[in-house]
Amino acid sequence: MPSGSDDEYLAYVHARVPGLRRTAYSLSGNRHEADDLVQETLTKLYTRWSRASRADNVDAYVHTMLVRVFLDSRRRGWWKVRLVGGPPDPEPVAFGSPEDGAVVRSALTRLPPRQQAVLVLRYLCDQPISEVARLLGCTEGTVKSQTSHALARLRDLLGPRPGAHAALQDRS
Amino acid sequence: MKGDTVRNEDDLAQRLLEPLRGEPDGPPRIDVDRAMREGRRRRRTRHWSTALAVTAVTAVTAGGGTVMVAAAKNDAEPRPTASAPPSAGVTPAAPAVKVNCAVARLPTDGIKKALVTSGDPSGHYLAGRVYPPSGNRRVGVVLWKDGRIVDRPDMPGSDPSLDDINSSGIAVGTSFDGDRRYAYVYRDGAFSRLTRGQASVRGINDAGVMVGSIGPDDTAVPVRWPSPGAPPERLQLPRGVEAGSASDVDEDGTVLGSIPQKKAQGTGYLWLADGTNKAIPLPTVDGRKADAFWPDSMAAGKVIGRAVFEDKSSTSFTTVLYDIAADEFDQLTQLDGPKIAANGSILAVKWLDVDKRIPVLMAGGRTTNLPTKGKRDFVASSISRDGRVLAGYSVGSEQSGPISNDPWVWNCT
Repeated sequence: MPSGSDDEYLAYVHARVPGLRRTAYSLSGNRHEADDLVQETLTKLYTRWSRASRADNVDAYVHTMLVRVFLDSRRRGWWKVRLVGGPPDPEPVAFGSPEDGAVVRSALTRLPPRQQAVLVLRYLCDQPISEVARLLGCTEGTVKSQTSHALARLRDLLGPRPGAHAALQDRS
Repeated sequence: MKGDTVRNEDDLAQRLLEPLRGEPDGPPRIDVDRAMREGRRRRRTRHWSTALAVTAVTAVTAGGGTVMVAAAKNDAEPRPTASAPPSAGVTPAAPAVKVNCAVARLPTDGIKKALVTSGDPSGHYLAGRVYPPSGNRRVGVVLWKDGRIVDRPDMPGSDPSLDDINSSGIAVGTSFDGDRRYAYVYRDGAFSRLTRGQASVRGINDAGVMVGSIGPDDTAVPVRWPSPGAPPERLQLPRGVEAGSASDVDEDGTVLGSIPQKKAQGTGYLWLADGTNKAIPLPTVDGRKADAFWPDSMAAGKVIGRAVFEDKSSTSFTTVLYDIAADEFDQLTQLDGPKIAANGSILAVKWLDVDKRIPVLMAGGRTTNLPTKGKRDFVASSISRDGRVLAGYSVGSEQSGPISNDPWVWNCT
């Protein structure tokens, strides 16, 4: 019973669950999946707590774990993790307004997982490029190029849109 | 121009993704306790491949103390394969009788996800947690008496848990306010905070003595509360040790806890009923002295726990039983989260296959696999003093997904 260590873990986790859950929700767009992602992250964190707790920046360490759990879940398919027998039915993209969160989320999930993570971490979690690069284990240049690819693809999926279209035209 | 492009890209992204901003609705369905238990299981699974092999007959000695050889008895149950825990002899602790146990799911007012977290020595009371569906209300606590819900009290704070209950139905537990943890006792239909400051309470005996720790987690010191309403009394720590915790209290007033060690993880400590205190000696298994002893539970002068062996990149465990008066260890079959009863019976969880862990009752020299209603993983929560009322909860199932929990009680004759 490593009670000191367990107590430290409990104290840390309790304080950070809301933030982790917000990030997980931004990444997945699904509350149940978000909770599963956090649950798995906390489990992994516990197995490595003696080391993780000594990290210079424990929060950064844990958020990196969370992002990796998310990417792993996308590779395996979250439905496989949950053992419910198959993937959720995909939402149609072609209908509805781009202002509708469900439509945007559906389009986002069609991007490669790392591109999803780049967009979410940069623009929903408001992380600087350097931090996104650290979280994903890549260079800042890769983050920038993935951002551009992801945005172009997202715009294609959502169709032309006032403002958005003009912004892309400015790039050329 | 490049700067403009980046700004435009940022603007575009902000506009496109703005509809996705938001908070997850409903209370979190995150079980930190389960994360810790699963984390421990994974640690063990990872480490078993390099763990020390333990033979069927093993000499286990207290540090510099008496040598005792456990009676060898081959474990007749199926062996796990790749992640097989070591198996060893079992010393009978109660008369050999065949035990029949019937299992029932504890009622939860229609709530699907629930745990049983503790039980009293008489076998009448159990305490647990319920996770109401999202949007309704936060995680709460529940009390059962003789298999029926008698109360779902509104425990102050968030993430509440009742970690022990005595034969009068007085329960103790902790909850959080922000990142601060507070200790509560529940009696006569009301909660009262045990101490104004941060505290954790882990055990209560039938005399109403409670134990735990006070202070922020990293500097907490072990304490006992002689009775509900009484101020906490600090338990003496050995010279040079400034922190520790108490986790259980026996009916005679003996307090079990742990203290940090300089190089290894924390290790077991006892504050005896006669007013003296001592570290639980470190057992020796197969000629190697353990680096720590992690106690799991205590009853009638015996402490069950794990001998911990730390290597450079791994930690391995051996389940042992410590007799306080005799200052002797017995090595047991590898068990997870064992709870010991006053009559010596033990409720624990045991690997049956690589992906299946079932509850077992060790009584009278027999190990009985408890009925599981098809569930594949369990956590042991409590055993009554006569070893006849057992409680625990299942974790996940193939039918309902990995995050389900169900509370179970086994009544044995």
